Amino acid sequence: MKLISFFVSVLLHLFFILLFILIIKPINAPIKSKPVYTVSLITIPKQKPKPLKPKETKPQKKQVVKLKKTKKKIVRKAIPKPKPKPKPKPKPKYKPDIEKKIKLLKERERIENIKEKLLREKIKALREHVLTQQAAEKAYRQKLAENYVSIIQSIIYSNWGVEKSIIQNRVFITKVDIKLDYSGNLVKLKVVRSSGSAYFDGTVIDAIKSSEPFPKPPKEILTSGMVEFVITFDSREKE
Amino acid sequence: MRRILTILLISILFAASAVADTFQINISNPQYKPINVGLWGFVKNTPENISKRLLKTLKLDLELSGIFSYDITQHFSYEAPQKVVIGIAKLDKMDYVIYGDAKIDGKNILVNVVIVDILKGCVILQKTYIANRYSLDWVANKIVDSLIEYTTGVYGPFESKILFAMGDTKTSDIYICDFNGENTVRITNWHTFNILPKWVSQDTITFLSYRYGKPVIFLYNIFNGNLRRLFNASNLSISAVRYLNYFAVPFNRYGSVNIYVINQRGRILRQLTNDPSINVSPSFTQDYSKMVFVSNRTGSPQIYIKDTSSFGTAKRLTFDGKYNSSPTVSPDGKKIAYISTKNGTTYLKVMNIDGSNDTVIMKGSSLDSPSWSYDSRYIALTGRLGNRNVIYIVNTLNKQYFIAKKTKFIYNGLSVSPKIE
Repeated sequence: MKLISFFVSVLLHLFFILLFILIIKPINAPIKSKPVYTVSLITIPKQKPKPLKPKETKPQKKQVVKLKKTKKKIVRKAIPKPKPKPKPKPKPKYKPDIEKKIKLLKERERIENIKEKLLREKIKALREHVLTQQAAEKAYRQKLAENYVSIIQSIIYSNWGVEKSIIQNRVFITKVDIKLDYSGNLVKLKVVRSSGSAYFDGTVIDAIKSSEPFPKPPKEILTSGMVEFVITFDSREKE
Repeated sequence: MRRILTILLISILFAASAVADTFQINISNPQYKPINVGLWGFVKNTPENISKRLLKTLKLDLELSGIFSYDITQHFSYEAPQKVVIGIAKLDKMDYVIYGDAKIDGKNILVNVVIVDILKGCVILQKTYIANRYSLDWVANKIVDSLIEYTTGVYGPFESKILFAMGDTKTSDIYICDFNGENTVRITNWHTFNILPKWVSQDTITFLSYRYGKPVIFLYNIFNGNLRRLFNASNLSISAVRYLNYFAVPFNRYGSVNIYVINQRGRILRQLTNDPSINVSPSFTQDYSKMVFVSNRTGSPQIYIKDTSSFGTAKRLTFDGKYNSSPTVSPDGKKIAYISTKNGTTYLKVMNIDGSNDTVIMKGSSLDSPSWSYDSRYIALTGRLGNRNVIYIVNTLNKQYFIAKKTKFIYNGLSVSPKIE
């Protein structure tokens, strides 16, 4: 009895295996000739349902699932066959493009470098030009200032006098800060450093006040409409 | 916070951009310019006799100082607005202005004084002095001394007194006057020969008198009249000067004249020089550490200096001329004034305490008895001008000299007091 049941089960198994083989074989053939499923993959995101309407989305989801399933199934079976074919083919196709591109890029770089060099040279030339202009302006301004300073110096000196017996051989130095406006008026007078002698400091202040009004300072030496001097008065003779 | 920072940054940038270029100027070697003082007070609101007296003394002091020249063209009372005074003074190119008035208030005289610095445009002195008719000159002296102090940094000399001996060939008396030669008062009236007076303190003097036939050095307090004999062991015409709390006198002993220290009773305490020659005219530095004197140890009278603390040898200071005498050390101890005689002409010379920088200050006839004022700038001395004898006031800084007193009588010594309070 046992043997009979055993044979029956074996037969049944064989029957199912045969049946399985027979069913799969006819499916493989039509799949190979139909490359349609790629299109459906693109359409999927467009047809994605909005989260607020679940009724409409349900069928779409089902479709997608089906398609995915089909795709998976197809890929699994199709992969082993095309694999060896595409791998060797693209390599020789892309190589010449990259080299060309590299060459192009290199050329572009060279051109850019040359352009940069030219620009730099231009900037240098401009800078030099500006600097020379500035230097010329500075020199001109300095000359004007020197002339004006010497005028101020001589005017103040002509008004400065002391009683020598008070000074004698002692050294008195007074430093004064003065500011003139654009028309030469004395705007500020400040003793920055006193000599220690009220009389000597007084003669210095008197000399400056007696020199007022000063000649108009040149516009070029004005800063915010003012010109400032720090004058050092020394009781000693110049060496 | 961000706003504050941005405002700060902007203001710093603005300030930096607004900073002007500063040019440096150096001016040296000033020209000579006399100091002009406007003596513009004590006419308005002042009784005439007081005005005359004040102005006379003020003018005299300003002139004798040798520093100032004065102007009397304007008159302002004490109440005059300072701005007006300063404005007019600027126009008149004055450097300083003294103005004010004086009023009689019972027995007192109220002297209101203002001194203005026109150069700086500020008031130096604004004060009311309470005086009487005897001390009006003292007020005037004080005003000028204050101005001298402001301009030179050292208080003026006019609050000292000059002590001098004056007479003829038979009699001579001791007198005292202000530093400007005014207000002379006779101290002795003995109808004898009283000479070589010296100040030894603010109120005490010494002088040599032949009152009792023999030369005697007297010590006299001019304020309380206390008179006493100090020393009578010398047969020479000598003077006594102060040495610490004692006196230094030169006198003849053992065949030579040396300088000795004596106490107030005339007892000899110590010998300061020890040389077989004539050593006279001692003068000391303020700390009494050094003594300057005259010695003829090398054949002719010359100035020497020696330490008083030791018996070390004296150092000769003068080498120019055959007769150098009457040395006197300045109160600050830095200078020595002395008289040098050459071919009958006398010179007032000043040198440093170490003998360096020997300078002729004044040339004159019969110059003698130089004496420093307490400010170490002025020297009073006697001399002869034409057929008159005079007391000169010399400014050693600018070598200007003025006559404080002029007389037909002979001067027999002079000494300037310390500052009398």
